[in-house]
Amino acid sequence: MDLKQIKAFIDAMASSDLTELQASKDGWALRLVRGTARTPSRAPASDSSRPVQDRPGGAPAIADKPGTEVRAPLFGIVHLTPSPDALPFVVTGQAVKTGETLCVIEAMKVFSNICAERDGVVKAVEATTGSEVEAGQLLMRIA
Amino acid sequence: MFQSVLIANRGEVALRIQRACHGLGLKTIVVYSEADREAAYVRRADQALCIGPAAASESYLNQAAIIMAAKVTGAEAIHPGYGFLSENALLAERVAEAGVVFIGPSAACIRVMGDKVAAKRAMRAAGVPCVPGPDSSLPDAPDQIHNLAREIGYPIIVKAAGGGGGRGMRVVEQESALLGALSVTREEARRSFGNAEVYIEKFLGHPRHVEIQVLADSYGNALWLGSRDCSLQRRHQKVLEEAPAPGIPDALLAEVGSRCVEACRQIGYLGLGTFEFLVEDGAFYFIEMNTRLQVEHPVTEMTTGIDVVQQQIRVARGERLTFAQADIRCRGHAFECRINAEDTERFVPSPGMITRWDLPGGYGVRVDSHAGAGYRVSPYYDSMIAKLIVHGDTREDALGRLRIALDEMQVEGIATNLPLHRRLVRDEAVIAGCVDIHHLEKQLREGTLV
Repeated sequence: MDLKQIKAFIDAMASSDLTELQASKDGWALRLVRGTARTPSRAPASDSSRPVQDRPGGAPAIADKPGTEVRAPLFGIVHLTPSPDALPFVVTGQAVKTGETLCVIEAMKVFSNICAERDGVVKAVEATTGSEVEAGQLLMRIA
Repeated sequence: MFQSVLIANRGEVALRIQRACHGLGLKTIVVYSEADREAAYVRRADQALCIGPAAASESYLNQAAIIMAAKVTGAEAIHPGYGFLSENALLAERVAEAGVVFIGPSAACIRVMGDKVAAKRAMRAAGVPCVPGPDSSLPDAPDQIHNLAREIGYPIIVKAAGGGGGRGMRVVEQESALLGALSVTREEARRSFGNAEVYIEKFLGHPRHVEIQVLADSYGNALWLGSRDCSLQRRHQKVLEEAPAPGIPDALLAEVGSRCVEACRQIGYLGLGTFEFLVEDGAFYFIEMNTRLQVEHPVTEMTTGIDVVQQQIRVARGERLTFAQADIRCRGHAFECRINAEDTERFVPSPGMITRWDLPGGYGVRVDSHAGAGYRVSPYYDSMIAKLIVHGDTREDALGRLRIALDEMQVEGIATNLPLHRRLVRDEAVIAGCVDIHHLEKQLREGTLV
């Protein structure tokens, strides 16, 4: 991968609304991230043009209620990690606090954080990162 | 002259380009992602090639895959549509290097217009009116920066040279906040656009968004095809557009239009382009040029009677324009509603299966869409699923037709912004015309939309 190719990816990203772009070729890997605080912190970045919403859709869905199944509030693409090569937001057995991001659902260039609605422990992760989930589909179990 | 066009885009615009190609007797080659496999325009293509998975970064933004697709299919030209790689200078360059015609201006033109400071300089050189402020990099010394800002007069706006489309901007009300705003915007610009250069200009408080469509061939002929008003925006996204821009004196428009044409000649522009302006208190201020086909092109088509996509392809084929500026007439008035798959109560996206799709029709009504009943709106791409366009003899006539058309259109299975459009066309200020770019957000914020 040479400078020209890197510039191509930067151009591609700058001319799009993507917040993140990853490419690998011939042993090189390139990751471009728009905005701030995506890699270091656990919350995905939000820039002014693309709000991260904590609870999209009317479905108050998300974490909690006794039994505590976390369900997708809308049809979209689930991301279990803040960026492709980062660690997951949460793993099975991990204790989570109210408001903590469990995963992100992407739909039409809008990224929505799915947050824990109360303290608990992740019992199971039922979705695969990068896969499409229907509205109401089970994402995680928390107890 | 090329006989085949590879359409490097998807959805509504892929279909629009395909129709223009078929109208010209050209073969179409469609590249698509796995998510768009079932699209009707893919089936209708002379050749279709899957170039990757649903994620745009792995398909529609994959330059190598697109160029490879052109090579293996023997495509003689590439149409980039809008969005995705349409304003990517490097793609234009690589396409040309591969011996394929890029349907658009040269890479050099795309590059100049992609740098907002360079663009402003080129526009000033051609006599196009710009927002007050320097068209060069800012000096380093804080004193000099303060002097520049004082000359312009507060409030000012700090903008990223590599920005555009409403991103990378910050308003500064007073001198004490200037240096801080500069450094924050620089850092954002560096991260977002890979270019930390910022510039400052006068902040306009209540401007309208008015744009001029241009068309140029490769023989030094350039024309302007009238104006559009796209002031109804939310989060810098246009919602409802019209042509012509109401309430602007013909003589003023003609003056600005001829300046745009002059700029095209000076930079050796080829194809379709749009000069975007802010208009405040009767004065035009250039903000940016889009070096591609635009979403709202149909309102220009309806009022000029020119199929601008066909013209764009013709000039790319090396044909000479067959009409002159004196032949361009703006007849009647046209509106376009962008129909998006979004819930406008809460403004959240609403992808999914369309179960009902009743389209409006009748005299003066046009719908450009790739969707239909049974179509699954993908969560991977933009939320626009249709464009509803109407034409009438007068603005009032067109608006009346639009109200009926919006009431006729019924979409079920997913939420759409149709309810918002129905309210907009009944809003007193919209009916009167000439609202500023903050109108829609203000109405939504204050809940004052009917």
